[in-house]
Amino acid sequence: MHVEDIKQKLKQSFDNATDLVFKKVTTKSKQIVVLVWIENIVDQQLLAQNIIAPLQKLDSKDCDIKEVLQNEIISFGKVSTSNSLEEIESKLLEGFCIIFNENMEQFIVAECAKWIVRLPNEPPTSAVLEGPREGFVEDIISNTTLLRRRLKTKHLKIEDMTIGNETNSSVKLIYLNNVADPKLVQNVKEQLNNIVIDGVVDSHYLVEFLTNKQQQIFKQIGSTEKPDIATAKILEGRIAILCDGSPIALTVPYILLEDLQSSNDYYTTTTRATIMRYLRLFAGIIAILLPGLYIALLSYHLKTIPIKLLITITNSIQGIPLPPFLEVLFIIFLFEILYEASLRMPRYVGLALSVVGALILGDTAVKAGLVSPPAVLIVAITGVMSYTLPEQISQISFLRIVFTFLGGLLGLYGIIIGGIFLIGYLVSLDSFGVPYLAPFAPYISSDQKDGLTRSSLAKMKNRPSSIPNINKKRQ
Amino acid sequence: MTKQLIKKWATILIIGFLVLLAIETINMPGQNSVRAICTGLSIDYEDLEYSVSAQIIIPEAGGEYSQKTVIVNNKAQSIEEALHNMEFQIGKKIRLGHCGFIILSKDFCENNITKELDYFLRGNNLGNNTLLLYTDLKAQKVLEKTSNINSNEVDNLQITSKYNQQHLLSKSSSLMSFFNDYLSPHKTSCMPNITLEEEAEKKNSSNSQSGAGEKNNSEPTKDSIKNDGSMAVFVNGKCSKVLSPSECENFQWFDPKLTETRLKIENINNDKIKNGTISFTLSHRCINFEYKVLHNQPIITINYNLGLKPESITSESHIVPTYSSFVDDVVTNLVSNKINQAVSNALSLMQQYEMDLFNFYHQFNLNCHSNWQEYLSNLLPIEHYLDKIKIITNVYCSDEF
Amino acid sequence: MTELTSKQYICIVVFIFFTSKLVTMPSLVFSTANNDAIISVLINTLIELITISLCTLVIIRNPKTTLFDILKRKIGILAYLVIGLLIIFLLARILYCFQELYSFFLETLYDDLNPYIFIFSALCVCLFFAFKKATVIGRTCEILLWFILIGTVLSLLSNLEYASFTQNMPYLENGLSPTLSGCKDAMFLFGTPTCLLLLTGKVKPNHHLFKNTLVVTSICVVFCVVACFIFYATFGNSMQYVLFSLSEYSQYDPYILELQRLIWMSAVIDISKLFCSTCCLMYLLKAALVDSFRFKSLVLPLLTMSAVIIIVGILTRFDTIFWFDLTKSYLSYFTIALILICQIICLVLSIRRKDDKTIN
Repeated sequence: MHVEDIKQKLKQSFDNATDLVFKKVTTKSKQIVVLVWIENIVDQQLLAQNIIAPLQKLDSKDCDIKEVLQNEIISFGKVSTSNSLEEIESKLLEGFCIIFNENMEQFIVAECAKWIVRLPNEPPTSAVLEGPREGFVEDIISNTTLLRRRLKTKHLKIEDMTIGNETNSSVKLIYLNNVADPKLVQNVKEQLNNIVIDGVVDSHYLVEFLTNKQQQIFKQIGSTEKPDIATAKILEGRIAILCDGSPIALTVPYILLEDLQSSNDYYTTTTRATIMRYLRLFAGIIAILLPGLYIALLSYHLKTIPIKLLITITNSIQGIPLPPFLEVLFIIFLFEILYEASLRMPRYVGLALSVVGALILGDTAVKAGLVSPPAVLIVAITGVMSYTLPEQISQISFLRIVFTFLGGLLGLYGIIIGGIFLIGYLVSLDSFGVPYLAPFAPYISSDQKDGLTRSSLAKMKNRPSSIPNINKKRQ
Repeated sequence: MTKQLIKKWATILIIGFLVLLAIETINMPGQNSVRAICTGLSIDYEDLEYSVSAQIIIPEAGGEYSQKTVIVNNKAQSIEEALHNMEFQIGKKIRLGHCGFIILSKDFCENNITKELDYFLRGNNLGNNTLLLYTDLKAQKVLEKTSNINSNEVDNLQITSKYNQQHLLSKSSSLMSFFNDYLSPHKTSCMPNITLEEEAEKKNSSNSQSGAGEKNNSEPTKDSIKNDGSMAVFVNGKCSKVLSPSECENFQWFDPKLTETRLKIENINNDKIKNGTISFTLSHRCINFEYKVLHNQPIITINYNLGLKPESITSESHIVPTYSSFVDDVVTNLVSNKINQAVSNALSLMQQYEMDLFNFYHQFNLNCHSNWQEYLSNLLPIEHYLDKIKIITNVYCSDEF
Repeated sequence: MTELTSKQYICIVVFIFFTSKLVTMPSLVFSTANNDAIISVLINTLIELITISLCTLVIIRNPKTTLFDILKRKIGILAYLVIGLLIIFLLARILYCFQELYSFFLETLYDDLNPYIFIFSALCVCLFFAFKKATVIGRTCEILLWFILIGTVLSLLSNLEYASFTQNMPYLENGLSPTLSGCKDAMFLFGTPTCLLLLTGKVKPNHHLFKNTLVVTSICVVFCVVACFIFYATFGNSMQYVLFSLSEYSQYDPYILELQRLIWMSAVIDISKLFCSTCCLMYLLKAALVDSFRFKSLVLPLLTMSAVIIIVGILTRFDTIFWFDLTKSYLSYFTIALILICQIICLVLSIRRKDDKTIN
């Protein structure tokens, strides 16, 4: 093996990258060993202390350096050998160190990656009052560790894949092989294998390849940032998909009911959990329908409003230049813009913006007689209510606009046909063969224990039938 | 290929439809600016014309709760025409969806009013539960009074009528029940009689009341709506008699549905009370009817089972302890006599005006069908079926604390 | 193979059963039978119960083959006649539902509603269900059933205090003839379950399907009769002024002025129920077309049917009186004939034979 030759080849294939480091180490017996790594993604201290220093002290006259390196010196991480230049190139990118010298026939590949890793902090999207506060991080190894720690069983199967021609992202399929339906696993694997894309930046990139139809209003793949939720889902027979560089674990199959459930429900009393689930459902429905209903009643069905409320409303909308339909649409539009802007603004500015938005814009608009207080109130109520289902914010906000249009264009009739159409659309969806509205349509009585009402864990002796599994018994 | 083409065209068609609809809707003003909300109606009959007045809400900008109303009046050959003309007058469509009551004047009720009221049931506007109210005065004047007062008078009229129904005569006076009664064989229905408390009268009453009077004096006195419990009875769609409050009280002994009624017994002389008067509340009130026709004579037996709860006692003797029994033979007799008296008075009124307020026709027909039909066949004219009815009362009283 | 589960089938049966039952049916029967209307309703619902049971038996016996295939095997070319009759009936029934919906809107919620906009948007939703699989309509019924059931029961309880249950007694005062003519006149509204036959081959029957259907339908019969009884007892003779029973009933109380405005809730429940039933009927129409004429693409036949519905609907201007008259005359005779034919077919098909391999 000619050292200079290989060095040139590597430099060439990495296009003279400045962070590609070649280090020549001279052993005690004056033999030269070359180490190659990419700066910043390997632990340089580890390299210096555990490889370079012992090598320098090594008297390699009587022994085979390769044997010594493999068996004695490198006492950490994965060590392997390879003689393909392509393979060592990809290993270099994964944070491995390549060791070789003139006499060796193969390269030694030693793992000494050191990625910048965030601590598993509590994720901002799903905070709980009482319950585990760990969240997934961007590092797939740490995420796997977090799941392994919760599922100490030999049945936990972790399958590796690499997706993305350029990013070569590591993707892991995690499931319990004594619970998850093999057909489902096969199906997911096939769909993942079929993905051809240049790069996977986040796990959400995979979502669009895993859903059947391209234009979807409702999400059909579950996502979570918390290992405890992922563990619970794996235990029910679902498959978790982890992607390197993403703190979001995907779970399939996914049903709408999952969004009504929160991990908090399992860390509190059953009664409380049941009440909260009904509240969430109610709030979700109100968040979607209220502006549409308001416009419909005011534009078409005045006679259905109680007289006292009607007097209050007519007094407040007296003198407003816009018809109710445009007025509500205008406020919803304003609300959506504020939402988007507050997401994008730097945190401190965002705080100021929300104050400006809520107080100044709303109050001034009302005082200026541009919008009426009931309309502002209605949109504010729906805004607050939609946050009871944080996973479905975008869907709720889309549907709210649709129903506002329907209510404005056709009145209650529009809302009724919209509602029936929506239900028809939802029941026609499925995620990996599981009906989207299971266990309500089709009604599965055994799954109602953890449906809208939650009975105690002791009573949930079986896994939910809506998720395909091969081992029904839970307790 | 064709499927895709059809899908594409369908999408274009639906989007086009929605856009057209949206353009139309955006130009459409709120319903409140093209519709006038009417909260009450009054109907008078003057000079062979119907004079219809509508109480219409005027929205006030500002967002605070205040109800300002205006009375719009029009005269025409029919109610429908009058309302139609009114729309021209105010430039808005009148919507009766919120109309809580219709006040009918005496002149109007002298003819069969069902022909005119039929319009309200047929139209899709007015709710079938709208209250019908009767007044001896000009209906428009009464309607004006309802809007003079700042509080929500619609509610007050509803509330007083409901009180009437609970404590005086459990007959609903809504539009639908009026028609139901009219179409039944007895053809008798009733509605509350609304009068106005005159200014002078009110002043007198406020002077006589020393405590609350001071407050009343400081406010400017106005005419106001008065509900004293009198009822107008309609037979065959015409108003045949206005029952005074005391006459109404006689009728309550036929009414098993009333929840709470009062009874005042005078001249009691027994071992506890001397020449005393007791007012009872009938907290327990069970009335049973038995209908039979014996030898062509319809007989109604009414069994009363009353629980008497004393409210106030005035006696010439010493003070009576609270928890002591009051019901003895003397009291029972007095109660029985009082009820007998009331029932016979009520019956003679009913016979005189042919008003079958309690649906005796139906009850006899249901309980003794063949005998009743036989009785009717011997009767000429058939409307006088109440004439021969005899009522027997049995009263049983007990103490109730 | 997309198959309805037994529960979904039962839900569809319930929706089909209640299609017009609490809307225009009570007043339609009352207009001829007067005080004996409740007996007419009872008789007709019992006939319906028999039809549903027979249809269910056929569906259980033939889980794999469609109605048309069975009929073709047994009666040859006449199968087209039966399917044709069913299609005509379905078309008339869908039109009646649209008319009912339209006049319902005008009566309860709208001051005016453009009939073109109404029919176009209503057909869009119905066609959506027609193009989808059977499971979609089944599951939709499954979800909506509970809301509608609870809403209807609450509406029925709202004004119970005003009902006077002896009001229409004594019954049969004028003999049997008003009752029988009441039965006859309203038969069109009670013939809808015959169309359930079109679900043959689309249901995956379980062991208790027949028993469950029988129990649920019996409950429906009781519910329907009790509801009609309450309506008649509340409105009494003024029933002739009532067109849409449940919504008029829910605003009967003259004193709760604020709560009465919740009439829109009962109206919404009524409308959703009617709408969902219409979607079911539309699906059945599609099933009839697909099974018998084996169209390659559904678009053209369904659009033709929709065009027929739109044209007839607009021509008749969704006129309630016109449809009432039609229902009482031609359509009632047609329905009686259809029910007889279907019941005979059902009886023949449900007889168990030794050589019949499709028996489950």
